[in-house]
Amino acid sequence: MARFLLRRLAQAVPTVLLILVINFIVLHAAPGDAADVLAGEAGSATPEYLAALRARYGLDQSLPVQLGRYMWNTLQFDLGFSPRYGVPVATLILGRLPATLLLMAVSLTLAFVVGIALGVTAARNVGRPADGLISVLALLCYATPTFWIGLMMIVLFGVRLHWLPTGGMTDLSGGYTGLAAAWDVARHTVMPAAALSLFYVAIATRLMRASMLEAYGADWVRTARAKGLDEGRIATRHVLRNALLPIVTVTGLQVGSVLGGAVLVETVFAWPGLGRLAYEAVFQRDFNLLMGVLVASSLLVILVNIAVDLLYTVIDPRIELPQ
Amino acid sequence: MSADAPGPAVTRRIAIAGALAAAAPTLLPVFLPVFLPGAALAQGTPRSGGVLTIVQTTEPPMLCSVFNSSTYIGLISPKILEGLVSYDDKQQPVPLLAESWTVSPDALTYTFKLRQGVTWHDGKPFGSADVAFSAREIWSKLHPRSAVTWGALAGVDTPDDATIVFRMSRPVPFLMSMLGAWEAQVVPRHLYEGSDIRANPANNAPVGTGPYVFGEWQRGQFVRLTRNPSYWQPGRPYLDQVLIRFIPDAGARAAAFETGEVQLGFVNPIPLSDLKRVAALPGIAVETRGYEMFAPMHLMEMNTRNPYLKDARVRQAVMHSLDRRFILANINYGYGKPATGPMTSASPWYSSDGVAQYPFDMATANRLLDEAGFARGAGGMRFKLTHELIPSPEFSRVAEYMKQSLSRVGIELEVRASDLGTFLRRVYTEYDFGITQNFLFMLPDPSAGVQRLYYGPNVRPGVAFANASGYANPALDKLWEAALIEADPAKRRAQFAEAQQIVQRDVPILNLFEMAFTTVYNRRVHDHTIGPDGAYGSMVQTWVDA
Repeated sequence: MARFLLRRLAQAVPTVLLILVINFIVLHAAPGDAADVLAGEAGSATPEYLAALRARYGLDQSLPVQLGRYMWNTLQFDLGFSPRYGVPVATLILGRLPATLLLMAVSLTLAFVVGIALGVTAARNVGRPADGLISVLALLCYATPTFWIGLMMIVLFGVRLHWLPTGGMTDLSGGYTGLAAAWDVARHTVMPAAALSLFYVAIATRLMRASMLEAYGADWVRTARAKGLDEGRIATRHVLRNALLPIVTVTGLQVGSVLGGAVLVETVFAWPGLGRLAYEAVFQRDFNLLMGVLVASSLLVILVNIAVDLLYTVIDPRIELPQ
Repeated sequence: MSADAPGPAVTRRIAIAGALAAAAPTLLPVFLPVFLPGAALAQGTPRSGGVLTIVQTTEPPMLCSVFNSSTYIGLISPKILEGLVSYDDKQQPVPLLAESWTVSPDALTYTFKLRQGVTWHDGKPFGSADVAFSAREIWSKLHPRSAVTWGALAGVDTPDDATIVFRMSRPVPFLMSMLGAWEAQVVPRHLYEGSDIRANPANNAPVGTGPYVFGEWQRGQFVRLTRNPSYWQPGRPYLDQVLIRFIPDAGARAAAFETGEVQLGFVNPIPLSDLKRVAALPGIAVETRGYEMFAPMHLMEMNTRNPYLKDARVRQAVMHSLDRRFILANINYGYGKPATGPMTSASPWYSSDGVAQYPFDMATANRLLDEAGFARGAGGMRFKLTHELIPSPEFSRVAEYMKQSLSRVGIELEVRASDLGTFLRRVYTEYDFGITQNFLFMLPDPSAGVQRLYYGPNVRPGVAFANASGYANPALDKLWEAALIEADPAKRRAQFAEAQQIVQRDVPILNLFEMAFTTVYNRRVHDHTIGPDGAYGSMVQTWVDA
């Protein structure tokens, strides 16, 4: 186990470095730098002002030098300074991490649980109206743009019904502590998490239904039926457990896409997550910040996928960790 | 507000507010303007207490305006940090941190008497040393416009703790226009001296003398300001807290106004296409004043290096081929006013006397293009230009209109929409453009805001919002240079009047509209916009209903 973890982590290092180099090259293909944008927003600038800004953040160096410096610093766990915000990149990222993890955990859990429930129900009622209804619902969720769903939720639950706050992560006038604060954050999390999870619910439902049906055709299911087990027990114990592996794999892979796909939801709900930080950094040409977010995200994805590999062995004892 | 406003409800409300604004100053005793510079919206009895939540589209990079004159900072910072003066409705200085001032007859020496008993938010006393430090180390060195305003600063004297003297090497006739809380904030010397000023933690958590104390900044979410309990104006401010929330999505901002979660937003918080609906909601209203001092202009820079656009007749033809009243009514929903030249009509230096106008006239446009020697070729087209813009709901529509309209006079337009970074590189560094579409602040004084766009020596690659058109006219350059140091207002007015005539004759830049930014507010909020720079104001006078 320890050896497995060490090996996977060691493999992650070149992956992250490669991601860094590719990102660096792609990002610098966009015209303009952070000093341009800062001066642009300021509405005025003198050449001296621009030169001072560039010198301050090392933007006056040649690109290979900037890249080399960046790699060297990153290897020492120093993500550098954000030219735009004037604070260390690590501070900005750590500030956004809790909100990102909360949104990601809630929405993926929601997608996982609801998707499995719907998928199992559909598979057990294959061909019947319940199956058709769930399939249509899943297709609808799959096809509806996330930001639109988000806005419609705001209009319905925020503006019309006044059940939930329209955006943000906390009630600013509150000053809540303890349980009240947790409840406040929970109320703010409902809509963004629900909006974000819909797409993944659809995928999980479809996938679960398909892999349940596949497992139903297996020999051991026939054996189970032959020895007289009831259908519920067959579904949960013999089919579901075998059908879980693909959905665990896909959920692990989705961590990465949720980080990216969350930009829209974070924007609509003014959620202080990493996706928005990265998205805004692109327009602000704040490459240090953007690279930092990308490093953090790729680490997160790598870690989650290691966890998924470990989870395989729990779900299916036949699988062993590669030695 | 222009007479072209659509939506009768909006027009009526603003007309009433306008009447009050006209009446209010005359009713106030003369000594009051110190506290109430031009009480534009004064109504009802102010109430102490309450929380005001302001919505902002974009998060600022920092909270000090002295290093970065971005609007996103300027909407927040003047509530914490103050300038020497503020401005009345005529854009004339009135006391703030300075109680009085004298300017020597040669306009080289400016002496300010500072207010006594003012303290910084950390309890340290405010004095002339703070102003001297701000001027010497920050305004004249680190401000993006430092060279224009403070390039002539020869020395700063502090004869005593309550007196500050600026000595200039040449007259700076517009100095008094550049001392407000957005342009020249006074920062505390005791926190900045000896530090790396640009990296000082106080840039993100300012300590000022203003009505509100910085509380916290949760990045990606909000900035919290709290009442300054020992503010130098007794009984002020009224609000316990001012919260500035960052909501990037326009639909979500509208929803937050509808639920009352936010009560105020500046600089078009709601897209104009949705504004009519939002403004019609009970309890929501729209204000367009409070931006006059910075004079936002919707304009199009013409690249005079271009083989076609270098001919003034082609530029004039483009101007003639635009139906600005149509754009105003159908794309800008009536917000704004056709510009007559390079300065906005609210500027004290504005003149339309003898300034050429270019009414919508396709026949004239075609004739001018023919005279310039660009006959229609295959397909009826004469030549092709690029049109650069940063997309926004209104700018994108204007670009579509431009493309259609110019094709009717035989000019093919390639619309290139890009983000700010790309736009700035193409337009101000590489000069890879035909026509731009942009809006720029003309600023309180033409020497600072207008000259930079039309002054030959200000063609400086890499400098945003310098002279991008490449236009240079020695006669005009002489006028700018003279006006820059002209201490006599009458002579200066004449110089600017002539400059406006020349610019509008040569049209290196098409000045389309004086932009009317909108402020959306909940009617529970009172006195949120006072003075010609009210949108960037301190909110010392703002109060909310219980």
